[in-house]
Amino acid sequence: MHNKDNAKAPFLLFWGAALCACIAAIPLVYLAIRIGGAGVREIVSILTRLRTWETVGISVSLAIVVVTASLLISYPTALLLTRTKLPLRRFWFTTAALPLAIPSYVAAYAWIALIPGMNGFWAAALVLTAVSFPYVLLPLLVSLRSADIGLEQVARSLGGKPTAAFFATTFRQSIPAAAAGSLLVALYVLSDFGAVALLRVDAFTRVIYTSYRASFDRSNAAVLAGMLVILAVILISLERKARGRTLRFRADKGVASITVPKALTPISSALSSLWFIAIAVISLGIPIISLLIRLAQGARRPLDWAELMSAVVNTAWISALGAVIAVLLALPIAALASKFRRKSTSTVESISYSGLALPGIVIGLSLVYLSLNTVPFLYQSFVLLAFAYAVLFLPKSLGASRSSLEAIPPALAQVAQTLGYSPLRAWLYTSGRISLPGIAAGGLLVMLTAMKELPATLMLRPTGFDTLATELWSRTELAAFGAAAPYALALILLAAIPSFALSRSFLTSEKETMVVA
Amino acid sequence: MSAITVQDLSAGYGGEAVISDISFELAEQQLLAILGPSGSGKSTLLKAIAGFITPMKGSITLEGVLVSGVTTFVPPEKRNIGLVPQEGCLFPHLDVSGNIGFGIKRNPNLRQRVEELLEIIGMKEFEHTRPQELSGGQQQRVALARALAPQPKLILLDEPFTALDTSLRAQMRDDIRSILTLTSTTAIMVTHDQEEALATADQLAIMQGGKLIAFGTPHSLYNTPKSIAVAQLLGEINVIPAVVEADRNVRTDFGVSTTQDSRELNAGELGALIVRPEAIVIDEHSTPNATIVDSLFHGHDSLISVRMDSGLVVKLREPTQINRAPGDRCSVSVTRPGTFLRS
Repeated sequence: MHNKDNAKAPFLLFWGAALCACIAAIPLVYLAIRIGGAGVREIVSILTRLRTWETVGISVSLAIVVVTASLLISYPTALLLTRTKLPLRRFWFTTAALPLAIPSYVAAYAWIALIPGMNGFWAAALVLTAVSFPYVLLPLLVSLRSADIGLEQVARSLGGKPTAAFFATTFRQSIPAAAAGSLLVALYVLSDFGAVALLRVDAFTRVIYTSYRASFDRSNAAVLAGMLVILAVILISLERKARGRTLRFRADKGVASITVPKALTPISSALSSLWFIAIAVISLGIPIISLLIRLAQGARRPLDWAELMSAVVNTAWISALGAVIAVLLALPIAALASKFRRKSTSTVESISYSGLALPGIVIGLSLVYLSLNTVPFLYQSFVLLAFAYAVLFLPKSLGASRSSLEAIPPALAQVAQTLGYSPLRAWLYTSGRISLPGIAAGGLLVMLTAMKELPATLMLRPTGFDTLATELWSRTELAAFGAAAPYALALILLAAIPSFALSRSFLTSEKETMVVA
Repeated sequence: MSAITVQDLSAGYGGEAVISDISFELAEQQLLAILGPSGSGKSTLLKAIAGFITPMKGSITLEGVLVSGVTTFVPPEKRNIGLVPQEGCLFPHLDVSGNIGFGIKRNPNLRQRVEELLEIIGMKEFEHTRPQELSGGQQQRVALARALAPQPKLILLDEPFTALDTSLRAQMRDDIRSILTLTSTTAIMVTHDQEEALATADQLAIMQGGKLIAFGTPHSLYNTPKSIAVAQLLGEINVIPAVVEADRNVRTDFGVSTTQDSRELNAGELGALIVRPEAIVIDEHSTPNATIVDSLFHGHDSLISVRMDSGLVVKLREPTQINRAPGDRCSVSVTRPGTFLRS
């Protein structure tokens, strides 16, 4: 029987999934309502303020600078890794994804702790580039590695010089991957709160936060948040397009010839190694060394273990609660989207991806307004904070659940039904049961990501409830760098887990390619 | 009582009929093969019988009980129909006995029944093996045992042999045939392989374009097909122009022969005689009346094309001992005349 049904989805499943998607869209919808409530005159006045456009200017230039820097770092790095017999090549490969493990505010803290008084636009550009450039490097590595060298060889056989041949063929093939990565970096920079706030750059997120704190001007925060969402939506749709093109590039080719890495002369070998060492020092070395120095120096007050432990416990359980909600919201949508291909089902799925376009600070803001105006008893409650995590990271859980459900032939559930199981029980005992590890992994990913979340946590946490992120934040704000160090270390350890998983899967695919070669 | 009766059944997706006006009846303990090219609606018919799609028209009756009709619709889990999908689709998280016992968890004699079935499919030593470690044929047998466990009224097999190697297919066919006989199970099997259908089934249903174009025993459909389309689906044929001389005697280029048809034929009627290649032979001792055009080697036999002196080209099948070359002269004759079809 056919794998995918173009049949109509069961009534309950469809509306259950639609309900979950709508719940996930609450923050976005409420933000729109709140902006509308400000009135046209107010909106126009905010939009015509010079300061508003200064903020746009700062955020956009920051994104442009970071993207440019990431491209300048990633292209040579990727070429050296894929085309040469660089010393320690495999080691550099494994470390490629690691900088992503360092939350931006931890990196910012480490730099400030090393160079007190460091702040401003260029400081933020440095820190954000150091933590986000792998978003460009990783897709570029994949693209260069799978690029069909045959084209380049043809170009050279037609008389092109090596560089000209490279730019005419392989470089062109790599553009979509680099573009998709660049857009991810831009999205990261626009939604980042921690680094710009600690380094005092008046980008969108920081201005939204300060306007919100200065409670007299909440419409300003809402309108700015709306502008930020629009920018994010534009970036996401561009990224989708770019990624679509990468796929097509690879889809329609036959057997690709694979590059034979070139040997390097001793001098170029030394220079390349220096390049890799410099990148590693800036992106990983300095944050970790600075952290260790502060840890060794200790704080004025001895470390309060009880406080640290309570932050760890708080962080773990609130993130776990968020992950559970995310999985529960994702399941019906994933079950629907993996089995029924129709316009109505893909609409439901798109709505639930709204978390992608909502930076943490925006979700925090929207949920604060929502709770204050409509459900005051939920304001600063655990439920609301966990819900914010769930909406923010729902796309991760949805992606994991959906892909593991899609791998299961629907005939399994049909067989169970012919063996006397009701449709729901048949699904639970077959597809549901078999995809459980994948769904759980998605949940774990949500939990690990939520543990690092800063802006929404700052805005929504119950009074007196501290997580690792908020403790690090408040200590850094007070310039208590020594006291902040244990929290930063704990966060890096936590955050390293998913990154290790990422580089491990990357390494295995590297091995497979080597076998083919 | 018939095991299953299907009457005027039309079904499809989204208001569009894929199959229409299907009617047939199958006696208990019979194996029905549904044969047809892909897109002919075989799988849709199977889904409608299993209860995975709601028919637009018509009825399905199982052992005298209406399961699908104008106002009745029994869901799949209440029909007691077993299903063996393509490639088996065993539950990957359960071992062999877990798979077989899946549908009879509430049965107090669970263990006993599972062991009985393991015995029937000859896989006792594989009780605790995971599906991933089984060969394709073994997976298929476990899938059959799983479907048989709750003693269903009917078993549906959806192209059960497509995923198997050609060398394994014949063996599996015999295995499944004998397991079904041993357990006295009524079964419907969907296939697009005519050899498989002819070799396995008690009854044969032929589908084309969503319609049931023939129903009968493999023997009758092969030897006395009711249309050229049906004849072609079951194997190579020769369509030889013929005219009726007297009742059941028709004249062709081969002379006058008696058809296997039981129908009344009127003298002077024009039409064609359907003759299988194996019913035409080369006679070494008569005067040559044909020239070899082509010979296709098939291992156990050869398919030879000859041009009769009258201009008619026919195909015949012959054991491969004799080597025929294009241009050779020979004498051909019909040993077993087929059906006469009016044009």
